Amino acid sequence: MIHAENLSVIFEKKGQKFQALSDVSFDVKKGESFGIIGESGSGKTTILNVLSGMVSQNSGAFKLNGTLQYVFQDPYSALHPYHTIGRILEEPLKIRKKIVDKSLIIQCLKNVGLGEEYYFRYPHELSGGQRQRVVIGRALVMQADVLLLDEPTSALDVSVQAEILNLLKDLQEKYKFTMILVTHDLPVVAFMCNDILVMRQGKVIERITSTNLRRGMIKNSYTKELVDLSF
Amino acid sequence: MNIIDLKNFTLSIAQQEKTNLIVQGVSLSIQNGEILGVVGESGSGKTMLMRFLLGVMPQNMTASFDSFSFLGSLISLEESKNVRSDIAMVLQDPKTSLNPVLTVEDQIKEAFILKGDKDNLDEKVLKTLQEVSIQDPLRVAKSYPFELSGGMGQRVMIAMMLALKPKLLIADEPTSSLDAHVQRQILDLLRDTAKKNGMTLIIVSHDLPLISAYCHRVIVMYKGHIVDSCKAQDLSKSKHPYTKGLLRCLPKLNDPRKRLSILKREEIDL
Amino acid sequence: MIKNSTMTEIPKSSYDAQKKKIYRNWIVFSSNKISLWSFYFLVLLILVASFASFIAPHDPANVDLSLRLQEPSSVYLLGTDELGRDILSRLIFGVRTTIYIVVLIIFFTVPLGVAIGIIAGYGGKWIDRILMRLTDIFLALPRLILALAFVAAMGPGLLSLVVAISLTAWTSYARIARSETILIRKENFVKAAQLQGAKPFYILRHYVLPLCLPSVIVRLTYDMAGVILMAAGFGFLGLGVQPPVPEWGTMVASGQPYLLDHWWVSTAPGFAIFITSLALNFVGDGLRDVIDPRQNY
Ligand SMILES: Nc1ncnc2c1ncn2[C@@H]1O[C@H](COP(=O)(O)OP(=O)(O)OP(=O)(O)O)[C@@H](O)[C@H]1O
Ligand SMILES: Nc1ncnc2c1ncn2[C@@H]1O[C@H](COP(=O)(O)OP(=O)(O)OP(=O)(O)O)[C@@H](O)[C@H]1O
Ligand SMILES: [Mg+2]
Ligand SMILES: [Mg+2]
Repeated sequence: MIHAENLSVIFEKKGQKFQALSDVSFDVKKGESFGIIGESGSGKTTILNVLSGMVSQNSGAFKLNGTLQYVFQDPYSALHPYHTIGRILEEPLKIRKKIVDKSLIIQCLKNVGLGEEYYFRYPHELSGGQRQRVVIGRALVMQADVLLLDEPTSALDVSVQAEILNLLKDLQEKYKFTMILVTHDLPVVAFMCNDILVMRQGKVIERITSTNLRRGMIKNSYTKELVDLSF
Repeated sequence: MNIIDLKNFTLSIAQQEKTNLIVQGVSLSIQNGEILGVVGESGSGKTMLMRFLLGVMPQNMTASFDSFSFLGSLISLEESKNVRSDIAMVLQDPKTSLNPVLTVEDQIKEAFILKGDKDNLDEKVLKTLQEVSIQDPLRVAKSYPFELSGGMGQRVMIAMMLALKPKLLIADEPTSSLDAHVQRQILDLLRDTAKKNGMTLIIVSHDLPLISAYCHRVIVMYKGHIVDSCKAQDLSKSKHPYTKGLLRCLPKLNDPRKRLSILKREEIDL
Repeated sequence: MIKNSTMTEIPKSSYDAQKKKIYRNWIVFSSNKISLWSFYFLVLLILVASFASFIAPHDPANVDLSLRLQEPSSVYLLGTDELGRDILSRLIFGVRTTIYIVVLIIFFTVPLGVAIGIIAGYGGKWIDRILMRLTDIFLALPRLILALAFVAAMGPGLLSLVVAISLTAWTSYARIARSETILIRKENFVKAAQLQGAKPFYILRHYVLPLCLPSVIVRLTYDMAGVILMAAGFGFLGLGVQPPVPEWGTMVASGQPYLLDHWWVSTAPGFAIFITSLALNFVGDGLRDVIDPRQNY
């Protein structure tokens, strides 16, 4: 489904170069959940930005089949402030000049655990958790094959986090999309993903399965440190 | 001595014919030098309560209280609307709170200048950035907010607020996008600064284990009320159904399962 | 499911939702009393302009030299001018001229300026550079000299006035629209639309334009005050609207020789100009509070 080989990204500013990614390779199978954890500033978001075409890589290549949708870390700026929730969910259809079927949108609202009554609300009238659900709902309307999730629950309280993570798992079972989840929360990544990439300073330092992570069968000392330090 | 004494605080917003209560009858006393943790439901009014303490309420909201004193002096309802310069707040959403058209360096300098500190600013900026564990402070100092990662933005915000040397620092989700390693360093820094400067610290967070490890006392908010309050290390033993429910929702590294348990809100009464 | 404790009633249609939003903005706007009263004043002006022929007590163009420079009295509430015309009636019809000028200038400047601004801001790189240099060139043109040139070429009149002001005035909208667009372009919901496959034109039309309009409108209200003053200034210099069409600036100018003995001739239109531009500024302040981004996002 996704195959990335030797991705490197260099940001250049006033002659100063900064290597944000160096030789990152990984592949993700269809329907899999893939986790990325690691140091702050290690390039996790940059990987997602490369995959979604918002940043272009300086060298290396990736192959990605199908449409993708981004669930941003910050649910506050992910929705058009002047559009109602209904309009936001219809947008992918409108953009592709497809017929908008309202019952489909309402079904989608229900799928993400929101009722019909949210159709005519504006984003500012929703709480953070509800907005995040709308963003996920939008990805479903698009029938995105790949979902990129950048710390989707770090702004939410743990009860809403639990609801969203369960929801994502259920929906994945139903629609078989592929997920890439970036987070700094080890219990969350272990719960959601089987395969985990650990990043530091733009490099992949370890690829580990969640079972091994749980059992403490860790090769890299930095990963070990992360596990020890997490509460 | 208490740095903050707030009795029966209510915050409401008029929407069409109805008034909605955002914070309802909250009383809060914070000791000088204390580290207070605030946890709770998203939308429960944590940020709004903090914004009231700081003195920056949204215009369309109305506050009322029986009494409010800060640093030992009583504050009237009128005065409560002014910004209190002895308090600094690290906002929840650092990237949107940083000025998008100024470099990090300029923004931190502004904070120093505000405190009347005008010498060796370049050096001081680099030093504060190092303090918040930023690895290449030289590059980050010259960056614009959009060139930072999520966690760097949060740390820049913290660096700015520490430069203000406040008596009370309110940190709203200060470490939500930091890895465990940096998270520890930042929290240690905040705790040490609090101790060294006699600063009082309020940490608002969704991370219950973190709060319980770093704070002295915790209050739990739900639908605008403080529903539970206990010593931080006793958080896991709390008897309140909401607190217990929250703790159950946490995924655990050593406990693989197919689904997380969720909170049954119907069962919680206030 | 998460129920928010502070949610209001549920809107049932997009019309309802829209209504609710407008209502909320109105609450914010009307909480500023000065802006509110200024707004009422402007509405009143528009009504006066619409029903000028019913309201005006006399014919504004009726020259009667026997009634020259009459003091304010119960018949001529604000007195008469040097040709014996009723000043109040001329003021009332002058509202029309002012609105006419303002509307024409908006029509010439805002669409052009905003279009150039958002294209430059969204396109970035060389598109931005070319369009903004172009804007700078127009900004550098000296208005007064330009106006003189147009008057020389086309003769004095409303059209030369409008063209002379418009030629430089659109640049401020281009700049505002561009700087707003640069910020909007980086917003996540714009990125989301790009990922859904939206074309640049679609994004400009549905995302960038509606979001930068509020700041443009605020700027516009401030600018309208400026335009009224400038039109009056041109009128005063004899470059603007020509008699017998009543125009406030020209009226001030025509009273100038009699300022000491017959103060009312210049004072009334001068006061009208002053009050109107002040009201526009206050309305601008009120609108600025309404579009405070923290309210909308
Ligand atoms: N547009 C940009 N211009 C210049 N540098 C950038 C840009 N975007 C990111 N960077 C730099 O690239 C590095 C990696 O950023 P990235 O956002 O991918 O980190 P991250 O792993 O997501 O971190 P966090 O967990 O803190 O969000 C950072 O050092 C950042 O400063
Ligand atoms: N400007 C506003 N106008 C109307 N309602 C608002 C406004 N700002 C916040 N609210 C409402 O006030 C309530 C409390 O918000 P607050 O931001 O304090 O929540 P919080 O506890 O900080 O949540 P989170 O953990 O998600 O940050 C929410 O239900 C929110 O919808
Ligand atoms: Mg990131
Ligand atoms: Mg908050």
